[in-house]
Amino acid sequence: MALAIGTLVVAVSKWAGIPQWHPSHFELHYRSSTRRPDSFRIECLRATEVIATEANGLPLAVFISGGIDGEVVARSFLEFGKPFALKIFQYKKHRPDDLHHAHRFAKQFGIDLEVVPFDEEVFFATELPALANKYSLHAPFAAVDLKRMRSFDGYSVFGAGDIVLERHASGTPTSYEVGSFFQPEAIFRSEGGLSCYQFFQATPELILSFLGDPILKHWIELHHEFDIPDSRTFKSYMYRRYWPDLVLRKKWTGYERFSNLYLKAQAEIGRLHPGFQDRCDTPLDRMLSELEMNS
Amino acid sequence: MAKPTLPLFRDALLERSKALRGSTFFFSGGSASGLALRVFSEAGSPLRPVYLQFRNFDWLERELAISDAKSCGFQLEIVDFDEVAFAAAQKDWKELSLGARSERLWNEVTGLRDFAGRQLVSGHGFVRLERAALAGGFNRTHNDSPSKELTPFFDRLCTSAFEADTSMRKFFDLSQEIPFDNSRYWQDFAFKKIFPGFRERPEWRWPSALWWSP
Repeated sequence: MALAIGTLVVAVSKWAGIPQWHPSHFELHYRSSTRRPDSFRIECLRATEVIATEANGLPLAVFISGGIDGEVVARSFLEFGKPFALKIFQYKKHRPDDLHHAHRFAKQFGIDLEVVPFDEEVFFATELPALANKYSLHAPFAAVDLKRMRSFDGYSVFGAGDIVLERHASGTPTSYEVGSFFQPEAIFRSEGGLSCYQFFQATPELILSFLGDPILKHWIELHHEFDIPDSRTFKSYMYRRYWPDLVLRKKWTGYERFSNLYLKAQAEIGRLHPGFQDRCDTPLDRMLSELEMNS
Repeated sequence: MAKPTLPLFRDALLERSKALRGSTFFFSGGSASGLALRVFSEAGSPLRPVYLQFRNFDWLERELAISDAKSCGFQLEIVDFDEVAFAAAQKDWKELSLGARSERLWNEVTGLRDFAGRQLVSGHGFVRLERAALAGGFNRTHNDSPSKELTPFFDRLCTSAFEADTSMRKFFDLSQEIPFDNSRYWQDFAFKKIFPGFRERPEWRWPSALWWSP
């Protein structure tokens, strides 16, 4: 796997003469698929099987943040019936609602939640600069996630890689980007470790099952009219359709929990690697930059 | 007697801001108050926005409050309030419901000397539509003001006009297929369509003091 940030480009064509955007095809620059995708929920289960096969008997841990993606990963492992440890890094500035949801989920399913205290202030001040230099990190969260992987002696799984379609930064109305960030996993694997960082991109069929979902198609149809910058909200409802008792959250990346500390760390990495900003141009990044300018 | 015509949502809000001109507005940085601030600005109605900064304030909401006030041309007053100390001083806090905690906290805030004699307004009052458990339709949840001293910006006319808005009609159509449990997610997009300067919020929640027990 390349030691670099990657993006999957999804091209969406317009049907001639119809004044709305209809996806006639998705073009995925990814490894090839050998079968038709099943429903998203079944593909999540199959992804857990692929991961368990690669883990080859190593103990498994699912790292959650209290967000909805991690809960879907943990639910998939539960349904698959594979034993796993459930872990959460408790940051100094952890959001109370994130912790609330993490504990609520663990209690609901009778799982022991292991809480690992983590001081991000100390980490950003002492360890981040060296890691950013050594690995040319593109964003502070890569360092935090690498730390999470290294904290577990086994095979760790993370709910990253959720398929969030974003309007392409170039403004081209017919193309979208699927966020993809391989860096922490690639570094960890280069050290001989095993981890699945982007569960939701573990197999091509899992990606395709998402892209073919009717709820996501509604986002494609409506995002121009209602200026909905990404598909995150619709993704949550898509999950909800498959897991009706899932409690929805409304947050963006989760890294806003670090507040201005994260911005400072991001600026520090930006100083080390001037090109990084272009590759972290999410709606949240744009909003945080705007707020910084106004405040 | 002929039924009065419902105003457009945009017009209803602009009129409401004129009726409340010059008032002191508790601006949380959240969605409803963010919309209200933009409405006052567009209507040219003077306003004194106040950001109540809790001890466990949410950094992002605070930044949004500061930024929104600035872009709307208002001077934001920031007032500190230690919700942790307040909650700790309440002997029966653990037994109270969220609503009762909210009422007690806001009664304390509106009673502070700095606010005496002012007309106090907040973003409360907005009707949220909650999916009904059985019928598949939606019920109205009216988020009343938590204190008698606090006037809700969104009155019944505003919220009726919102429900009739074309954006919300789309919500009802979509809800046949998308399992919306309430209108909270959708209404930010609708607000933005009606008031283009409005910025959608990442999330909604109660002040942290209401979640935690001392």
